[in-house]
Amino acid sequence: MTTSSKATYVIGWLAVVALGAALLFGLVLSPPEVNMGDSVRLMYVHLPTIAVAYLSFGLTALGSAIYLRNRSVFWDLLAGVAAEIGVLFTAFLLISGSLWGKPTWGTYWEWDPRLTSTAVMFVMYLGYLAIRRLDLPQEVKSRRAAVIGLIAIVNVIIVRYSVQWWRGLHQGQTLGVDTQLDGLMLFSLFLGVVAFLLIGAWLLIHRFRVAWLERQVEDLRLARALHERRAESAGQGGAV
Amino acid sequence: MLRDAFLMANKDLRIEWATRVGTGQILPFGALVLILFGLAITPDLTVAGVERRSVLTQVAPGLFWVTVLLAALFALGRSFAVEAVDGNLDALKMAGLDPAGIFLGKSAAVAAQLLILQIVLGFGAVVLYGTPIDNLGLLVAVVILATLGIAAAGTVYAAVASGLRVRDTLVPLLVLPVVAPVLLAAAKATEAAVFGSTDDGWSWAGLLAVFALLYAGLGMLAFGPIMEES
Amino acid sequence: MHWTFVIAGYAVVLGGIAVYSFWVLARGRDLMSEVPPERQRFLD
Repeated sequence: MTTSSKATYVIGWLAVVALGAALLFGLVLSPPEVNMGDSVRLMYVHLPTIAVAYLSFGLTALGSAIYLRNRSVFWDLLAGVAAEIGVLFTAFLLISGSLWGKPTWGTYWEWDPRLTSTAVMFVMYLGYLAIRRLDLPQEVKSRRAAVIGLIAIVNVIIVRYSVQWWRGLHQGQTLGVDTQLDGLMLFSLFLGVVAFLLIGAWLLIHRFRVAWLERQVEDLRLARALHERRAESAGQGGAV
Repeated sequence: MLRDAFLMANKDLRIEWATRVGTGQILPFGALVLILFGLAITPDLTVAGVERRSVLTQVAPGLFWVTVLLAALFALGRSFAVEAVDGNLDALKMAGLDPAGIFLGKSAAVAAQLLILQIVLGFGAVVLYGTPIDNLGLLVAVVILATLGIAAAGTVYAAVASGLRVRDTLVPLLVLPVVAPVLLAAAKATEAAVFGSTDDGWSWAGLLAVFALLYAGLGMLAFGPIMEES
Repeated sequence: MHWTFVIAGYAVVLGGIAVYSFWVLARGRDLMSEVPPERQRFLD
């Protein structure tokens, strides 16, 4: 028995097809860019990871908000799972961005608004995931995580704008190269985004089911422990 | 609510006064960090430019604020350590204290401790790093606004980790990314205040004010749900 | 020269997704055998 279902088969195979097409167009059929050459092909994975990461964190905020409203286990788990996927794709974002930067701008890292605020965002959500693993009763843990998951979006925005302001005033090197994207390149990019969104959805569903099952195991364990505790005290009750 | 805030702040500051952890341990820690920076960065290395300023002096504003943040982590952890001992926060809630008031009081107490800390550390930075002071008014404003922001935001996140064994490692992980904008704005504004550079110091001070207000508000809303123990 | 970075980037991202997928699916399989059927309906 697995966590698969008709839905995951459909989404999964669509993802494979889309990814295949994206790779074909991104790596082979699309042309190198005028200024940066073949390194532009990294854009076809870099930008899609941005889409998945931000959508995931948005989902975390949404799930957190709804959980705070109605204490639903579904939304609590969804928030947590979305954050994990978001963190994963943020790591991909940073790495692909770094590998794109080296051949294009000469360095693996730039203190520009996007990279810097992304790095901070990455650590922020690592903190959120840490909260979800605390040694606390489940409702307390989920509620604290939900509050933080909700505020986290606010933090991301603040960090983004303050770093942007910083670099703007500094009139440092802005991370823009004169990119000329023709229709074929835009199409490759589009394919990449579609493929990654499908992959993200597929991962989300499977990971959610895993989390759901883990929660069931936890609940069963707790119920069993409680039952044993009661049986113990009932047995001793007569002796006093 | 304000009455509750006052009660909380009073209690926390009284405990601090009695135990002297802030002055006895956190302050020396701050001074130590300032000294360590001085050891790590060659003091007489100069910056190429008009004023023949040493590298250490040039980066002093940033170093000062990093030191303040590190010290703040201890102050924040302590703020909740004193509650965790007998499940105090829960008792306070049952006694009918308004969570928003508790939040404001605790943040205020932390802010007060940090301000005193910064007066001493600031003095230390001027002496150790040879920083001038061009615009004292801006500097004071920056210190106050940044401190309020750090205290408010920090209190929210320190509350999440309160009473837990992992508090000491969790609080930094939660607080530092959130106050990164404060570090940035405070360092830039302090640079402007200290060197009289053309940077728009008051704009950064404005950002600090916005941050402080925002987190005061968020904290008042979030503290209740975070504090609930059941 | 640029191709080295391109391949590296694609490898890390796609490889990372593959590793994560395998882990999730394996975990799912283990858990499905641990949890009784009545608790397997993934809804509140």
